[in-house]
Amino acid sequence: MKGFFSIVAGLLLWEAIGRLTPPVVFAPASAAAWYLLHTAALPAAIAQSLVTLATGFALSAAVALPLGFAMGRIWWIREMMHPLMTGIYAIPPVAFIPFLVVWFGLFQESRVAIVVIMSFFEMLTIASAGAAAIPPTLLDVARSFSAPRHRMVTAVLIPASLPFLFTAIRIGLVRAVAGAITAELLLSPANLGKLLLDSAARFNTAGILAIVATVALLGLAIQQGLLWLERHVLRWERP
Amino acid sequence: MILLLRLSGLTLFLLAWEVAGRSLGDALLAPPSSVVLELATLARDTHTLTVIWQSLAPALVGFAISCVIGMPLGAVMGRSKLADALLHPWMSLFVVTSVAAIVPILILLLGTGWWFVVAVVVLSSVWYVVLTTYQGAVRLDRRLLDVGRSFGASRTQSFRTIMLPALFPYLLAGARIGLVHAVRSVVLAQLFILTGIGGLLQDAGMDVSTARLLSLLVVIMGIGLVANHGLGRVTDWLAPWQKATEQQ
Repeated sequence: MKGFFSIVAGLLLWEAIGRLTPPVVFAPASAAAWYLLHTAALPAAIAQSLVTLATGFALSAAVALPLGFAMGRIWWIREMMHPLMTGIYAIPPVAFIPFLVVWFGLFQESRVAIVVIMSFFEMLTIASAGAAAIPPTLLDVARSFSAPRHRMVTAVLIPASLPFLFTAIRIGLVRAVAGAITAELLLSPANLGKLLLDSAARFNTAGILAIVATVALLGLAIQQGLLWLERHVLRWERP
Repeated sequence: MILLLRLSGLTLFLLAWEVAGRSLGDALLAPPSSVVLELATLARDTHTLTVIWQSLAPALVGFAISCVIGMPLGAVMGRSKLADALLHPWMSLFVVTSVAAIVPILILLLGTGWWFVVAVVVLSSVWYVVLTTYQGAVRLDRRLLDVGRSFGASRTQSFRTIMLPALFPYLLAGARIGLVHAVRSVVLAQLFILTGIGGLLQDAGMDVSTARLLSLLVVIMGIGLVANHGLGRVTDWLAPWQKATEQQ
């Protein structure tokens, strides 16, 4: 409820600033809303951006989560991978863009690759830290009851891992949204990025702000959706 | 033993890269041996070094602005219910918003000069500084402040002697995350307007050989490592009760 008032107050402030400044500088919220409702290309652009995002995220998660888990549980894998991963993580993901263009060109493949790089290391770090922090007592109990290997995985390791896997997926998805829009702007413009750059080229600040709001809401929706899912799936974690 | 494992991981990676690089050719993936040669050339190229050096200036200025704005804001949000209710939803919104999406409107508003880069840096790092400081201010033990009040400490006294030391580790942690994002966003901003490091990367991307591109990535990696671990070291030294470098 408090959040609602804050959002309303912020939107009113945006509207006020927009009305006081000329429209080429900063459009009011109502103009942005009008743009959102009257742009026929918008739903298709969002859908296309989501496809890029989902493909990249799936590829990234398929490698980052198991690798992170292995790094957290198996000490020699952690020690072997750690310096390498720290080094690559220190490079800003966008710096790879010229290199990715050499490899994958300017279109969909490159966009997916950027989403992968943007989301990979966050998920890896969280999965590895989470797996390392699984309480040994849980495993000890299972071992003292001489649980078979598959029971150990299904009854102990998976439930103990779900909380941090959820966190990793949530952060990874938020980063993937950022990756998708960055790629659509910096490579050959496409989807939401193209709508954004087209608006910018026409000094249509209403369009720009509307797309920025869409991107922000997309990130927020994914974040809140996963938090909601997390609360429902992980009933035993609730205080 | 651990050192051996760490080195073996790196060595295996470099070997795999060398083999892959030799079979694919310089155009697709220059092997580390050529990248090292290129790095040596780069080290003698004063023009490139100046460009890189000058690119770091807006990162540092933007980072300083983020700290000056973000730290008080985070502290106020953590201590005042009203400020928290008003600002927190927006902070959560901005922190999940990609800065890249804001770049086009910044270009319209500020042009493509030096301050544009600073603005991108501020807009990508300030949220992390705010939210980390906020965490510290929220967790601040009520009893500490109550003790101050019972002894008749004035507002400034209680701020200086109670809040600041308690917040200190969080301020440093926020600064560290902020600095990492500042370095990242400088590259992002400069790739949009093709100046500084972004311009260098773009030019190198046009080369037939990827050696120059990869050596630039190695240089950027060095800057990133120094920013992150250097500030981690400083943190340990200033606030030894909160080991930052051991946490990872």
